[in-house]
Amino acid sequence: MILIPKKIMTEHDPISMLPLYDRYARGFFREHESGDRSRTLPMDIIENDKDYLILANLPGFEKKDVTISTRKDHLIIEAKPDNQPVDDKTKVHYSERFNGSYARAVHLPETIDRENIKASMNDGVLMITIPKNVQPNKEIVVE
Amino acid sequence: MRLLRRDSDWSLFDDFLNSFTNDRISRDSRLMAVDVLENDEGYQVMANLPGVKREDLKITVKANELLLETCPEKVDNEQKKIVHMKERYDGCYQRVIKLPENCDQDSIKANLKNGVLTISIPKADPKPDKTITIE
Repeated sequence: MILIPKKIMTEHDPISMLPLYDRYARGFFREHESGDRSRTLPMDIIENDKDYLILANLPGFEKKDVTISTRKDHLIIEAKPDNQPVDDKTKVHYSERFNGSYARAVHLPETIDRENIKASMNDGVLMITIPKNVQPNKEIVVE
Repeated sequence: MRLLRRDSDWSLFDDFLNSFTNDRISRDSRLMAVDVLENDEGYQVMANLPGVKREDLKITVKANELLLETCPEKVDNEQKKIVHMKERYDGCYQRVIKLPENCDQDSIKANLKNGVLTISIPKADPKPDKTITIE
């Protein structure tokens, strides 16, 4: 499990390929990649008028196996499976499903309401709703 | 992702690999990772299908092949949205699993829970050897 950023993606960054993202110039949701993509939980990040939505595939995980936390300007998703060990009588013919732990950190934008982040699990998909908190521009009067 | 083969005697699953041929429907194992286990009673196939609903999943047994297909219905909400990241695959995909001969194909059971499909395939009693009399 790697939480400490090894490298910040500069090339092949899915975000930078999206023209819509250009205006944020690699601002929010910049992610610290662990470098091992096959073991990274696939994620979608969608923004609408009110919220940011993060969807992450966590097949086989229960609610209790997932921890979500915010640390400084990052949202950290950690998932530890509650696996039953395979007994001696069971033969394993194929084992493609990753049964280890996942961790992924997402850089959060500043304009969010940290107190009201909500999460739910449905059909092996984690959904995190982060409400926006847009502060109006403040004008400072010269005294 | 690597496909681990732990049992070299298990030749019946060989076609499994060959089935990832060019096809419009994705058969990429990363999209539907599968485990196959065997014990004395039967076989257990487990497939990762996060976000797939029961009604979007089709399981067919035909000529010793187990076919798993899913084509999720696209939910098109008209809300204005910006996609910052899109890594989750939400298209159609399928996988074919060659079944061994000693399967009780009439008693296959499937269960979908937390985005994991579990298919239990009981073993059938081996057919007794048959002597053929010369007419």
